[in-house]
Formats: sequence, C-alpha cells, structure tokens
Amino acid sequence: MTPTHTLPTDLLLRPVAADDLDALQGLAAAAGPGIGSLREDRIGLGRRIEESLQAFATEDEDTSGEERYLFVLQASGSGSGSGSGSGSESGSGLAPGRLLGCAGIAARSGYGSRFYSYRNEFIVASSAALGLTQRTHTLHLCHDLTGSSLLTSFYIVPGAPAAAAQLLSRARLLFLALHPQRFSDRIVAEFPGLLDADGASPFWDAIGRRFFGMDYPQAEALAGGRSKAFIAHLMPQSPLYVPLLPEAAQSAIGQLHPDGELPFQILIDEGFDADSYIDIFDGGPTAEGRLQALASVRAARPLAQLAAQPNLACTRHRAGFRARLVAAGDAAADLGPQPLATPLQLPESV
Amino acid sequence: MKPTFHIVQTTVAPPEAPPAHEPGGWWLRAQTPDGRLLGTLHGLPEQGRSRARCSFHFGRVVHSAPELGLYQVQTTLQLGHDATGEAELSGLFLSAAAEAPEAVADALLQAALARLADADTPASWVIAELPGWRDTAGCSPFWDGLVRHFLPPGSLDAADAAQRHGPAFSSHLGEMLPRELIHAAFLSPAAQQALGRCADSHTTWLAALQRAGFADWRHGRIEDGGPLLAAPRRAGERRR
Repeated sequence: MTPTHTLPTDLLLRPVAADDLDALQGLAAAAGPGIGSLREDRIGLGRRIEESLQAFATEDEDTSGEERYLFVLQASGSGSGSGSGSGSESGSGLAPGRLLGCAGIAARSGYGSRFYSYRNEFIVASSAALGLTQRTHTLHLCHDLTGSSLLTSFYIVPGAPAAAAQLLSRARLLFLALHPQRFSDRIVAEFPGLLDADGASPFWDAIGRRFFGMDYPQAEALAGGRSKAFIAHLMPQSPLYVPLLPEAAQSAIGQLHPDGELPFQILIDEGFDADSYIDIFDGGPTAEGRLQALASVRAARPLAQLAAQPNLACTRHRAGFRARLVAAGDAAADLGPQPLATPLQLPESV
Repeated sequence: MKPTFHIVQTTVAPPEAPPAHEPGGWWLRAQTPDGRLLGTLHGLPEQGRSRARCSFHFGRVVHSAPELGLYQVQTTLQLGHDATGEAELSGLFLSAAAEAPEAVADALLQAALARLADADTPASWVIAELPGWRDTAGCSPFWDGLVRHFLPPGSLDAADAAQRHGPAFSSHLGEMLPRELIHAAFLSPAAQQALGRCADSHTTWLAALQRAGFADWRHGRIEDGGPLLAAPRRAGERRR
C-alpha cells in the first residue's frame, strides 16, 4: 500500500477548468484508445470541460441526471500542510501546475437512453433419464445499470505516486457521498477489456463482428457519434450461450486490459463487485457498488476524528471542490471548515 | 411397368425397420407377393401424446440500420414443441433388395397420406423427420457444433445414447438444450451447413416426400439438425 513517508501532499484534485484543455488533450493522447470516455478529440474534450463546468455550477434542485463532472489532479507545488505534525517528508517533486491525471463522474448512466451491459447468468439443465446435469454460462443483454452513477475517464500518468491514484479515484467517492441528492446510490465503473497481440478484441470479434462485419472502432465511427446504445440496439437481444463462443472470446469475458489494473484494483478494494456485469463490446468488467457500502464512504469522518493517520480529505462544498492527501496531524485549513476525510490506507475490516 | 409389390397395413413393427417415434398408429409394409419386405413406414395421427416432441425452429431475425448501410439477415434456432399434435410418418425403411425403391417409397407415402387424411385427428399437417447429415466418419457437425456444448464433457456418446433410449432420446436431450433463441452465426460453419440437411442415407426418402407434396417445414431435429418436412394432412384426400 501507499508508503506514508513520501506522501505527496502537494497534489490537488479539483474540477477541470477551461484553461486545462491543452493539458487535458495531452492526457487523452497518452491514455490511448482503451479509455472510451477520454478520447483525444479536442472539440470533444472542450465539450467535456464545458459540461463539467455546467455540472458543478448547477444547483441541486436543477440537476437532471445528465451532469458529467470531470476532475483533474494537479501538482500544486505548495506542499499544502506538508510535514506538520507527522515529521514525514511530503511533496511529489513534480513541476507545479502540471496535470497528472483526470477522473470523472456521469450523474446517471445512459441518461436519455439505455446503458447496456451483459449480465452473467448461469442456467442449469438436467435430464433424469440421461442422468446428466449441466451448468451453462450465459450472457444476458440488459439495461440493469441504467440510471446508476458512472465513474469515468480515469487516467493517471505513468510513474505518478501510488497515493496520487488513490486520491484521484477515491476523492470522487467522497464527492458522491457529500452530494447524494445529485447521484444514484448505485455506482458503476466500466473497465477496458482484453485485447490480443494485434490490438483486436476477441470478444468483439466473436460477437459484434458477426453482426457488423467490422472492428469495433469502425462500428463506433460509423455510428457517427451516436451513443453506444445505438450500436447495442443492433446486437442480438437474446442471451448468448458462452460455450458456443470461440475459446479466445470465452477467455476474454470479464478480463481486464492491463491499462485498467490500477483503477480497477482501487475500486475492488473499495468493495465493488466485478463479477456480475461486463461491457457488451469488449467483454471488460463492469464494477458495481452501493455508495454507502464502499470502504472510503463507510470510513469517512470529519478530518479531526482521523488526524492520527494520513488521510484523503476534501472540502464539503460543491463550488470550489478540492481534495488532497493530508499527513497525520495536519488540520488542512486550506480545505475549509470540517474537511471530510477518509483514511488513505483503509483497514481490512472497513 | 406395374409394380410387383403391394401395401399391407399392420400394427406389428417390422424388425427390419427403425422404431416408430411413438406408440400407437399403424405400420404399412410394402411387400412382394411372396411376402418379401421392400419398405415400411409408420403412421401416427397425432404426435406428442406419449412424450415431449422437440425440434428447433429455423427462423430469421433482421439486424438493420438503413442509415448506416447495415442490413443483416440472421438465421436463428428456437427450441420448441411445434410439431406436437400434428400427424407423423416415421419408421421409414427401404430394403436394399428393392429393385425400384423410389416406387416403393412413393406407394407407401401415397397409402399413408390417404389413411391420415381420413383419420380422426386434429392434426393439420403430416410431419416427417429425416436424419441429419453426417460426415464420412459418421459424425454430425450439428451435434459437434451445438449439442455437445450443453452436455458435460465426455458424458454421452450420441450413437450409444440413441441406441439405449430409442426415439425417446430426443425428448431427453431436449431437457438439456437451450430454451432461448440461438443465432446460427454462433455455430461452427460446418454446423451451420448441416441445418436442415438430410443424411445421404435418406435422399431417396427426401425425394419421395417432395414428390408426395412435402416441403421444408423450417424445423430441424435437435440431435443432428436433420430436416422436418410437412404436407397438409387433408391433401391426401385429393390424391386418392
């Protein structure tokens, strides 16, 4: 887990700002195609920033569920509160102002449409006369997760401190907990699926390609920016019997692309379940959890009650939301009155 | 040349013939004046009364998005009991010694259809199942491409099970197979090609059934994908 003696307290998580576009485009370019919600498309990224600014500015009573929030992780260079009380070193050593990553929240998945997933199910067939019983894995196209709040667009630069990834991912959970009226209590995150050595998805090749006759990126391009639901609507609506799929596709079900390992593990440690749903295009895992059951949320307290350990803490207000890592004994006055905190290192029993 | 055989109705199953698919009904024998068996079939006025009769319906679904130029017609398989209540011909057998097997098959079918046309049955159709295509090793691509995936690995030899359970094997097998729609595109190419394809051993019967007015019923046997053919039951009245 995160070594506390190098706690990078100078990293600041904040809402994306209009002048982050260049840096955000740089992050998107580095992220590659695995993160579908973070494409290197300057116009699209500009729209994402606008949407996020609008989302943060929307009052609770005016929210509709279409809000999409985007946070960035920035090296502030200030080492805010560093070292106070703990005697530990702090600071990332990174150039001030540099963006290290981004992460988002979509208030309601599938807003205005459907959010498709395959749900793993098992059916048992039995014949007394033949003396046989067989359990068969099936994939059911479903809209179960429509309306859930969706964690999106997680990307952190390679080599960033481990604690930075914790801050970037888990600060979103504190934001969700602070503003429950704006979100679902069911939280979902999609992760990229396995690709073969040629960069092709065995899952898509076995399923989507049969109905589109093309690679998934081509299908997406052909859809002309329509939602994934548009493509999903053209897929078989009946359950898929997994044993009928090629071995490579079966092996790809629920398998994670290496690029997703870090954010995936963070959410699994939070208590997300990744066994029930998969992405309908590449078979990657879709993690799901109830907000109040997530470890960070369950352990969240006013910072003063957790002061003996390194924490992840944030402001309580939507406007000017900030979150950062806080060393033991640091009151984090820069985060306003009564910052909400959760231990950086979660106890196993939380 | 006038056929040198005649048709005899009996309730006794000829030992040479494959078993009737269900009990009841009657047998027709084509035999020479000296009693030599040339062919048989079994007629049943209403099938599915003694056991569940399963078949796959071969259907179509269209995946279409005109604005994207996408238009795909997909073949589907749906397990069901669609033939239940229809009349049936089974026990199809032609002796290798028959000099004119086509004539024997034609005569048996004509006689059977005439009897079924008069039968007291709610059936609208007369159904005939033919065994599915097999490769030179005697293996069914349909079994390999679909059926075996829904059985515990190595648990069942199709030929042994069919021998042990007789015609009821397909009903038992139906309990193991998927109830939901299957897209044929998920089957192996060989299995797709076997859908509704008759075994080479039964092409004489296939041709005779077609001459008698039977047509593809867009259903297949669940164990090997062999075709189900159907003719309107009352059509037999017009043939007399």
